[in-house]
Parts: sequence; structure tokens; C-alpha cells
Amino acid sequence: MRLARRPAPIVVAAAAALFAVGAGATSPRTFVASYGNDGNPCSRVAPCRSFAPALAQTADRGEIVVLDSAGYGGVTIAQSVTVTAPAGVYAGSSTGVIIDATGIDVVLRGLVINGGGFSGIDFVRGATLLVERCEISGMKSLGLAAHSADAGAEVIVRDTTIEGNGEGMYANAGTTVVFSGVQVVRNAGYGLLFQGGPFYLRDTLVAENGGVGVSVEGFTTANVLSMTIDRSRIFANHSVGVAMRLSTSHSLSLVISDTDIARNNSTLVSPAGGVLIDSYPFPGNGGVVLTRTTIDGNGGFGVSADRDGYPSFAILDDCVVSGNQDTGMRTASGPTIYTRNNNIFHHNGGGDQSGNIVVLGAL
Amino acid sequence: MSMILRLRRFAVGPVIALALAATDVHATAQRTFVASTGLDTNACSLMQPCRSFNAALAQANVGGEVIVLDSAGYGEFTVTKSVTITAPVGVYAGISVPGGTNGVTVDAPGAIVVLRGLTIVGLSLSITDGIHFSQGAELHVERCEMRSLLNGIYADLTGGAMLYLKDSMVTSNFQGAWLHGNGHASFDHVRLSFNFEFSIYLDNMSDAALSNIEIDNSQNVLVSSDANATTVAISRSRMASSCGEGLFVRATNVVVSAIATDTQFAGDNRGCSGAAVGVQDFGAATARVWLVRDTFAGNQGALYTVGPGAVAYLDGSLFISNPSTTSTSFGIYATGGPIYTRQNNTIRGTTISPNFLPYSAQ
Repeated sequence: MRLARRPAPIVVAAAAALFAVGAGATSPRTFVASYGNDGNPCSRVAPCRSFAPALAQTADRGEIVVLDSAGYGGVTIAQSVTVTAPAGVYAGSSTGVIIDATGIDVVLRGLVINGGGFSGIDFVRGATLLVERCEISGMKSLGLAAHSADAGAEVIVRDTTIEGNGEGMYANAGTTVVFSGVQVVRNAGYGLLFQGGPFYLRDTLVAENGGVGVSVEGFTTANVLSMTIDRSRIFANHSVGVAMRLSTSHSLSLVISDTDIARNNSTLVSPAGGVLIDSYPFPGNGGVVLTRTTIDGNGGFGVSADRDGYPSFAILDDCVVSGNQDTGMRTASGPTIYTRNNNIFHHNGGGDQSGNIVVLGAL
Repeated sequence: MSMILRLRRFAVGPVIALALAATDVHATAQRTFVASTGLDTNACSLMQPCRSFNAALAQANVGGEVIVLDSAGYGEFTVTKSVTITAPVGVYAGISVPGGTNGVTVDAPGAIVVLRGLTIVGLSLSITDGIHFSQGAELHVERCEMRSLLNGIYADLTGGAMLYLKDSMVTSNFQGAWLHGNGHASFDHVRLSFNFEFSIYLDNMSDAALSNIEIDNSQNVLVSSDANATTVAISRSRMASSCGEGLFVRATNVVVSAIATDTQFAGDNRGCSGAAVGVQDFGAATARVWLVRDTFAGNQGALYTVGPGAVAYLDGSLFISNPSTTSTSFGIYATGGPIYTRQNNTIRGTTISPNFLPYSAQ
């Protein structure tokens, strides 16, 4: 009797072994390598050669680990997953990454997406996207397209370079964007185009882009929102450094702190050079707050608030406004600029200030 | 006798001695190694690495090191002595936590433990901790990632233990870091994202210093004590887009103080109730916050005090668009103790309760 029962665990073990190599099995951690083969199970000892087959073998919320430097192809992600190339390992893709399934959480770490494809990272659907230590360059359209159809999606980008693409990054209304240690440089059009926000930028460089450095256009949301740019540099963009275009029923505000906005708009493609608040074509009632920020050497106005009698505003607190080609801070046709009377103005070509300037009481 | 033979004879002795030492279960080494190609029956030497952390730890000296040679998973482990575990930059060292046990357990009275370069991942949202520190003198965690766990880190620091967390990521856990007891903590360059409950819960701590912390989409920082006086310093940090307080300071029977300098609170509590900073005297207590050169932008509310011992000090801070859309409160709202100001703050789009008292510089 006992003898007859003994084989049972062996049968179970054999079944488990079969399951492990079966086509339908997925693993929480899969591997890709230059010496891998896409017919492999993508295990540590038998890695795959490219991302797409590795993803098919990876469990939901699992991880793909890159073992050595190579190109690993494009991939469309429709599950929660983390893709990690450790520092020191080059993991290239020329076609880029598409993220397209409702509710998923995706982490991309250490990828180099360079040339060929349409957008570097195309976030079509999904709840959260975390991009770290990536380089996205030479893409025909956007470096990063954050237009997730999921309500309340969030994109966090850290220690990443977005360089030399058609445009740097676009984010649709309602997608929260968080930057830390990001470089957005030399893109042909906009550096960053945010259609409503909110966004929070920190330790970020937006430089030498062909259009506006950071453009905020609150056309489509009707929220009370506030965005922040902190400890950053908006430098030598071909058009305005930071442009905020407001629209009806919105109360958008943008706080720029400890930031340098310099040498933008040098060929005067716009009347405003450093910072522009504009209510065209709709009326708006938001504004920009500049604190501990330098606005220096821009073509046109340093800070300009404009348009049509609507109560938009700018606040300058402990700023330096210097060497701008036209007036340092200037408001016309409605908006007010408030100061804390603690700013420094010098060498602005069109004078230091003009228009409706009001000194703020302290609280 | 040929040269080769002589060399051979010379070499044989040490080789046998090494082999004997390697198979001696009691011998340990100052430096042991793990690799994807290793075997746990090996000596865990550079030439003969082990496959798992537990095997390499058993062979490491007290105060020794375990070094990861290449990228792979190396399994959960328990530390019972002073030791340093290092995955160098460029090497992925994974620990999958299926549930039932913790990723890393530190149960080492009096020991100093260092963890570097580990990726600890819970499977299927397992209800276990990434790092579970129950006893020890110091725990240093550097360049680590804790993801999809009950607590990214749980540490019982009772008796004055120290936790240092640096250059690390704590993502998609139920709670990010839960630190308990009258010990000390230092966080620097730590990023906490998408944690469901509190990102950092300082529970009856003695003191903590948090700098360069970035928290997104979590309930941020809770400082709460009913037994130990607690002091917390937060600097150069950002707390964004939470549903819950960015910083909540709560005291019962003791004094709890927090100072936040050069820190941003942005987008906190949108669509939720509350404010970016909450200060609460929960009974017979003093709860204090200093907000120095901070920015409050686009939060549901910016600041409230509750209870007579709850006090806030504003110095050079900026408050913009914190409208507090709930009908019963203000963007800055002193229902408890007063809010003192240095009269150098900038406030707009933020309703304020009348209980503002100026205080002068010393």
C-alpha cells in the first residue's frame, strides 16, 4: 500500500517541471542578453534576445532585466511591468516603447531610445509610467508622448535626457507630470508642451529647443490647478522661455522658484522673451509666481503679462531681472504684476517696469 | 626535475589547504561572493561563488562582506550579525518576495548592517516587508529599491537604533517606510512614489532628518507620537499630488516638532479633504511646525492646526492657489493654536483664518 502511493510526489514534481517550460507559463523575472535567443524561456541561464518575447514570458507586475549591452528592439506593453537595464549596461531601442492598456503601471529604467521611430515613449493608455535613467533622442515626433486615456494618469521622469526629437514632450490635460533631473534639449519644436497640467518640474534643464521652452496651454480643463518649476534652468530656447496661455473659467497658476530663465528668444521671434502670461484667445484669471528666480538676457520683455482686461497676474518675489532686451517686467491691457519690493532690476533695454505694478502687503 | 614539476609540487600544498578550508563548514571569510553561476555548496569565494545570499552570509565573517558578481535573483535572506551586502552599480541583484516571509530580515542585536544595490520586489502584492529590521544598532540602506510590498521598510528602532536610507526608491507599496520606536533616522535622496498609505510613517520616533526627499502620489509623511518627544527636520524636498496631508504632525501627551525648509508642497489633497500640512494636538500635547522658505502651490488647503497645543510658524514661505474648497475651512486655518508669521510670506489664492500673529526675529 505504502509503496503504491510513493510515486505521487514525483508525478507532481514532473508536472511542475513541465509547467515551468510550458508555453503558457510566465515568470516574475525574465532576462534578455546579447547572446540570448528568443526561443528561450528568458530565464537567467537561457535569456531572450529582445524585449517583446521577454515581455510575453513575464508575469503581470514582473520585471525584465537586461544582462549586457546590446539593442533589444521596440516593444508594445499591455501589462504592468518593470524593464531595468542596470547602470553600465546599454539597452538600445530604435523604434521605442508603446504603453497601451488601461490601468497598468510601467517602469522603464536605463533604456536608450534613439532614432527611427515616431515617438520614443508613447503612453497611450495606462495609470502610471515611471521613466528613469533613459535617453530619448532623434525621434521623428515626440520624445515622450504622455496622452494616456486613463483619468488621473501620472508620469514621473527622472535622470533622463530628451534630446533632438521633433518635440520634447507633450502631456494631455489631466495627466500629472513629475520631473526630477531631466534634460530637454535641442528638440526642433517645443521643449515641453503641457495641455493643462498639473506638472511639477525640478532640477530640470530646458535648453536650445526650436520653439517655446515650456508651454502651458490650459485650453481643455476646467480645474483649479497649480504647477511648479523649481531649481531649474530654462535657457537659450529659440522662442519664449516659459509661456502660459490661459483660458476661460480656469484658474491656473505656475510657481517658478530658484530657477534661471536666460538667453531665450534671442532673435526676437516673440515680443516676450523670458516669461509670458497671455489670455489669448480666451479670457483667463491665473498667473505666474516667480520667486528667487533670475530672468536675464532674454530677447524682448523679461516678464510680460498681457491681454484684454482679464485678471491674470504675475508676482515677483526676491527675483533678479536684468539685461533683457526690452522692458524688465511689463504688463498691458488688464493684468497686474505684484511685487514684494525685494527684487533687483538692472540694465533692461526698455526700462525696468511698465504698466499696472502693485506692491504686495506682507502676511 | 623540470620547472613545471617543481612549480606543481610547490603549488599542491596550498591548493589542498585551500580546498580543506573551503569545505570546512566552520570557516568563514572576510569577503564572500554570489553569482548567477554559483552553487550554494561552494565556498562562496571569488573563484567558487555561491548562488544565494543566505549561503554567502553563513560563510561571511562578523563584519565581513557579501559581494554580488553578476545580475540575477539571489533570494530572501536573514541577517544575524554585522555585515555589508553590496551589489556594485551595474549589477542587478533581485530578491523576490512571494509572501509569508520578508525580503530581508535584520535580527542582529548590536550589529551594523549595510545593504547596497538590492531590488526587493513583492509578488502579487504580498503582505510582507521588503526590509524588516527587528533588532540591530544601525541599518544602512543605499541604492536599493523596494516595490510592491506591505512595507517597503519596517524598522523597530526602539532603544536608540539608527536607520540610514539613501539614494533609494520606495514604490507601489502599501506603506513606504514605517519606522517605530525611540530611535533615529536619516533619509537622503529617497524617492517614494505610488505608495498607498503613508510614504514615511515616523511612529514614536526620537528624531529624523529627511533631505532631498521626493514623494509623489502617496499620503506623504506622518509624524505621530504618544510616548516619545519627536523632532523631525525636512529640507530641500518635494511632496506632490497626494490624497492626504503632505506632512501631518500629530502629538498626544508629548511634544512633537517638525521643521520644513526649502520644501515644496504641490497638488496635495486635490479632490480630497485636508491640507498640505496638518498639525494636531491630539490631547495634552504640543505639536509644532516651522515652514521656512517653503512653497505651497495648488493644494486643496495649505495648512491647518487642530487642538490648543497645535502651532505653526511661517517664515518666508509662498502660498499660491490653496483655496480649500471644503465649505468649513480655509486655505490656512488655525482652529487650534495660533499661526505665527515673520510677515515675509507671500499669500494669494489662499483663504486665511484670522488667527495670524506676527512674531519678530530674535
